Amino acid sequence: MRRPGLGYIVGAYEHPLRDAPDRSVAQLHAEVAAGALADAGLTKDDVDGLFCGPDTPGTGPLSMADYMNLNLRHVDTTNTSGSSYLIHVAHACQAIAAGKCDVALITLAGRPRQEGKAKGSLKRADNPNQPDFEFEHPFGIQILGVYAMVAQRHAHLYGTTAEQMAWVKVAFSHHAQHNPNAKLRNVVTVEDVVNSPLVADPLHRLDCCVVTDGGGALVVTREEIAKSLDRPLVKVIGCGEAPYGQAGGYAEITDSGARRSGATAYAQANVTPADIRYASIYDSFTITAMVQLEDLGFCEKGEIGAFVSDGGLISGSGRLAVNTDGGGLCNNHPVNRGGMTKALEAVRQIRGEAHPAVQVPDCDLALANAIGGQLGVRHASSTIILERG
Amino acid sequence: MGKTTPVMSLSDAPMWQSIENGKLALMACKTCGTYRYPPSPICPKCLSMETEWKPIAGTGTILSWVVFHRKYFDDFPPPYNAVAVRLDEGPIIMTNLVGEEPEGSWIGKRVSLEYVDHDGRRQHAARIAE
Ligand SMILES: [Zn+2]
Repeated sequence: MRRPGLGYIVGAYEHPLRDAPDRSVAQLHAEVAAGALADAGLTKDDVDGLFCGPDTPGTGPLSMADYMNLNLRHVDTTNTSGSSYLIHVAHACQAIAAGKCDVALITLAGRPRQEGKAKGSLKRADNPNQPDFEFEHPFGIQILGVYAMVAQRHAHLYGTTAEQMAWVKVAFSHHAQHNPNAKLRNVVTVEDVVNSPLVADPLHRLDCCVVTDGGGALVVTREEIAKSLDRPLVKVIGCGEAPYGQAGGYAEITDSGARRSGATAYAQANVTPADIRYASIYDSFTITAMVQLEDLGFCEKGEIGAFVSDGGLISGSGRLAVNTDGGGLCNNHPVNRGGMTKALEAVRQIRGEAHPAVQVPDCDLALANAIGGQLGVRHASSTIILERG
Repeated sequence: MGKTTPVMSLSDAPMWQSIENGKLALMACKTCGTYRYPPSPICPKCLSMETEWKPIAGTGTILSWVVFHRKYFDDFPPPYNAVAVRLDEGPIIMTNLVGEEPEGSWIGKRVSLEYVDHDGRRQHAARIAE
């Protein structure tokens, strides 16, 4: 079925490094930008729109636009933490449709491992001026804590087990063995996960994503330019974004904004979850991916434990191929913001450029979803749906 | 590493005062009566801006919990816990469970709030109800 393209992703690049001790953050941004432009067959002089998050050094986009000597007529610094970069794809499509730019560059890069954020000591990005700060911080609530609470309650409501959660990590480790750049390439078992040390009960060490330096970039453009380039066409056909909060203390903590961002994207794309051949799902923790998968309608709410079990997410043999690059749990989680790498692997799948061992045959429809912020309290979900052009 | 810190701001000073007085108060809507937490300038149910701080009974049910096994704050040596409590008035609050910890799942256990000294400040905590 031919669906209208909202925009086309013509460039995609993932930095090969996971440890970058001898590079500056600005250099990493420039390297991923150059990589994505080269992938597209474009140059920096073609770029007239820049989309970036707070990982970009300097004031919003200003320092990087100067550093890369870009001549811009549109900028967007929307920040919803890890989901920002999928929202940037959507906003780039909107800006292109509105005539505000023709070639949009989206970058993410950083070096948290060099900045002492690689040993589980990561604090929440809290600011005492946040209205919610006073009501969580004094009780020692840390970023894993709210995810652990979501996992505990999911287990209570639906009988989800630690072994079922472990299957998410196991599946992504099966994919990561084929990715030469992955931070963790070793295949793990359910026993490996549940026997790894408890970090925040019920989350074990292997339920948690990696912390990596590096980054990635995307180039989005309009149809005529995309068709003039020598790359497989990747068409954006649906987008959704949905903040989700506590609703005054009454929200269900095991639900996420993915229900609303997914519904918006499916409606715009005129597809259903059953049509999706491949999904990139943000996996800051195993439970994060599970909640999104059920809220995106790949199974009934509460049935995700059975869905992921027995290799349910392994490409080729499972129920749905998910995170064939190894995801944030095994491959890459640059700057603790997972949205960018989710888009990158979805683009590879649509182009047929994923590793042959994990490539979904004839993958014509893919979805990428990210959660930025924290499940259980306040976050934003962002969904994009891609089709081969 | 550092310690957790309280900050008094426009919308939470009355809460900390109520904790000092040993009877936690939350914002409640003067129009429809709905309690809310954290505080906000507007009722999430009816959007009224007429608000009062009302003491709560201090009873509720554990909605979820976590035990941290790593050190994140100097004033919370591991292992330490945090609990989300569904108050009988409706909203969820975050606090710490003190006293005896239940066997197995903590979810659904009834708790009552009390007031404890934590590193030089007074804050609320939950204890399993008899
Ligand atoms: Zn009201």
